[in-house]
Amino acid sequence: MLAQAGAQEKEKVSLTLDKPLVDEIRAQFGGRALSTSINELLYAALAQKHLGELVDEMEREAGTPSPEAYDRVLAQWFAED
Amino acid sequence: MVLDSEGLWAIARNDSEDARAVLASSREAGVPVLVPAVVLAETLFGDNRDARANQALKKLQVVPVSESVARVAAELKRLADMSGVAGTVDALVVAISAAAGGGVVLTADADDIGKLAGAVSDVRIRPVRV
Repeated sequence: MLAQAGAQEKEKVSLTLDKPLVDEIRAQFGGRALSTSINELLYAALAQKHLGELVDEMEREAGTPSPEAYDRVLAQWFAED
Repeated sequence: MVLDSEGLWAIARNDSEDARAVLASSREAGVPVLVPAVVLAETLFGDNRDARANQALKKLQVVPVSESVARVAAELKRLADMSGVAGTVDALVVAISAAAGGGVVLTADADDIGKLAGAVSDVRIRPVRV
């Protein structure tokens, strides 16, 4: 589990990133420190990587869900009022 | 996507095909899976019976309950006419889902979660039953 951002110890690093990427992050998170925005994006990306690992582990142990299971779940997920 | 107590156990035990389908769908859609810290207090035993849950929790995002989330939960509980500790935890689960922008709560108690979700006005939250 990743610790939440905020009160964590910081390490200053020097990174070289693609300029269009930096421009877009600045535009999307305008007014905030670039480090804060990139920190949050990296937390989110790592969380999704960990989720993928968990799904893979669960499917190795118990198999992939059937199409019917996806149907049941998505019907509830997108249920209308 | 937010897990309540039964949602977390379904993932920890890995005995629910529907829970695997929800997690896989979340992965495909890039939806974060959140576990409110209060759910850990409700769910865990604090001993070696927690081994499977702890294994799953290493890969999930545990989120703290802030004062503002707690206040929203209190209001949801009132609006849904619910009370008691179980109702409080369910309300916190729904309040965290609302703070995250809505989505899905994986639960065995779709009725209560649905009732609380119905009290949320600005985002859409749906219970998915395990």
